[in-house]
Amino acid sequence: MENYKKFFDLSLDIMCIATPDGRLERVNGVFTECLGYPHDDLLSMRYFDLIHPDDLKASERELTDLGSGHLTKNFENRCRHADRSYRIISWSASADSESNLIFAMGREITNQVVEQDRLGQIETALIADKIISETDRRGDIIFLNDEYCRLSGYSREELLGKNHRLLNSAYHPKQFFDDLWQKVSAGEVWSGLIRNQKKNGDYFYLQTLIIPMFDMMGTISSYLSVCQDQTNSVMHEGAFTRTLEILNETSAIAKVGGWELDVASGELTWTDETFKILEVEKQHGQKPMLPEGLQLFIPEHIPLVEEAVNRAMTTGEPYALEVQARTAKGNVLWVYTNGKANYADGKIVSLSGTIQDIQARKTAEIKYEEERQKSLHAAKMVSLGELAASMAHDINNPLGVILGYADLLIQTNAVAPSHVKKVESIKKASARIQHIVQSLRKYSRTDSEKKFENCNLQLVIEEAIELARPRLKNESVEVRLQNSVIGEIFCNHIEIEQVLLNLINNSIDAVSRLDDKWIAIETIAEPDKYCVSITDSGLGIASELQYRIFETFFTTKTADRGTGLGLSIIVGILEEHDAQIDYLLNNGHTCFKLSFNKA
Amino acid sequence: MTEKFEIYYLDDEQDLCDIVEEYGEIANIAVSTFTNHENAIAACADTEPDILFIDYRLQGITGDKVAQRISDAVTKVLVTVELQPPTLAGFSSVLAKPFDLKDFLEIITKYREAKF
Repeated sequence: MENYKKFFDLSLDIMCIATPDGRLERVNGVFTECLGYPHDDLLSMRYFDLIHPDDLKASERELTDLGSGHLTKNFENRCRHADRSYRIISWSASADSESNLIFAMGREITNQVVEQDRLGQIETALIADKIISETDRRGDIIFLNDEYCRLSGYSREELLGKNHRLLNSAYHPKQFFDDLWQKVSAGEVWSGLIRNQKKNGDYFYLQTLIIPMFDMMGTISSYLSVCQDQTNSVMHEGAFTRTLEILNETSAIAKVGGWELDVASGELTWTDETFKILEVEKQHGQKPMLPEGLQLFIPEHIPLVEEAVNRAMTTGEPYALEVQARTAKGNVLWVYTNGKANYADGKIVSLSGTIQDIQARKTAEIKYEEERQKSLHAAKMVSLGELAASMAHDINNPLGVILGYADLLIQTNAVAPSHVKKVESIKKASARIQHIVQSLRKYSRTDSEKKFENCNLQLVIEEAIELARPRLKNESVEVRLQNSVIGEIFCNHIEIEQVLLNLINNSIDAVSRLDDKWIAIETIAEPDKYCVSITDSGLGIASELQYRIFETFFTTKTADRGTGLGLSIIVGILEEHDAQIDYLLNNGHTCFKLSFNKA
Repeated sequence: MTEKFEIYYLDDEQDLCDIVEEYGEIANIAVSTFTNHENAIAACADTEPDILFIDYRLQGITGDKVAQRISDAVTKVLVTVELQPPTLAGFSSVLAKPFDLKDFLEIITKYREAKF
């Protein structure tokens, strides 16, 4: 008996002996320890007072059953601790009809229940709205939830026991599933996106987690799939990708690229077409910065772009520019670029815009303007020609009278010998007027068919100088003819005279404000060529402008002086003559050198 | 200069006609001048000259039209300021205006020597 008492007192489980009417006859130490009451207090209490009100009915029922001879096994209820919290206790009990006592043994399972409940909640949260299925080791479906049935369009009966391949959409290659099976059969979790096929043939996309489930022996017993429906986002992504592809294709056709500038970091984001237009190699993970982007314009246009970008960043003013870009490969092309500010919380956070390759359009525009200039020039020359023709008639007749009488005066010895020289001067002056009128007529002659013939180069030069003489005199510019060479070139006399006159006029404009004013014209004979260099006392053209002087519309003159042919038309005329013009510095002075093939 | 060699000069500029006439006297050339083309045509019909100098731009008519109305037997010289006269048909020579009297004489000499 003593041993039983020891067993009762030393037991690690809760033990008690109670009466059916609710009294505790005896409790062990674990009992008092579990509920925190002093031993004697417990014996004076009704044990029904310790039971949680919600568990009271079930506990009374269990007690009644005990009285009827049933055994209580793993009956759980909540008992109040001395600190007023509750402990969950799992009871096993039997009733002794002889002594009319109940012998009960309990184990506190509060922690296990709480943990189980927590795990339950986690599980609920994890699988909420999830599509769940479970297959055996062969892949035959052994479980699936309602959501799976709803999404696939199959009933539970249609799927249970069937192999998962039933839903295969034939989209993934064999290797995809081989890899999947290899991983999960090795006990690892697999995750990925799988395209499945519904009963009606439509596709649905599942972001899938396949978890191997192990039995007690550590052997894989089944595979649990927890999936999330991604059909909408995949479809949208597909549509978005396609839209992006179309946009890219359209951009490529229109040669329009996009860009965005992060104001805070100075980082530029470019579309593929922008990289293509600017011939910049796309480096993975590297974005160009604003200063690099600005360097992709020609030096004269960098300030324009920089100013527009700065204004857009500070004031939000949008811009649109037609400028010349110099690509990473060094090619120069016309581009249209615009930009606008983007705001967040009232602050400018980025600029975005487009860049378009307009080289073809701009070239056509330039060509058109060049032709327009040429035809304007031609029209001007026709008017001048008509004026010169009528002037020649009106001047030449009275000139003939002056010349004729001067001639007669000498021939008839009508003037004293001391005056003969004066009359000779009248004749010479008349001859000069005649020459000027004739030169002007030749200069302004516009033949419908250009006549190319062998011409004396020196004569052409002298005629051009003669026509420029009034301006040379007005501006007090000295002309120095050097190393004159008598030789012939095959040319349209008038056009070459026009070229030379324009170069001389340009030189007059350039030196007119200098103290030292001269123009040196030198003819040099080379083995196959005659070269004419026209050097003036000007100090050359700024190096950054030198490569542009032959461009159409380019001028350093003010609007009222920028008349004449322009160097671009001169280049055009010389090309027709298989001749060329070069700019060079001659002892620090501006010099244009013309090279003609010998006739 | 015994053989008769007659020059007609047609120009609506009276001063030029006077110069040519006076030069004819000095150079001993028989020169008749006309400022009216109808008078010149009539004179040619009456007595054909050896050379007829015709100015291109005349009052109301051009020299080539006048030339067409003159016998082919008459040597015609076009006097003009034009760089390229529209036509040279019917003319034997061209004398560019304004001319030096020695150029005028050169042409006359050339045809007179050919005649005699």
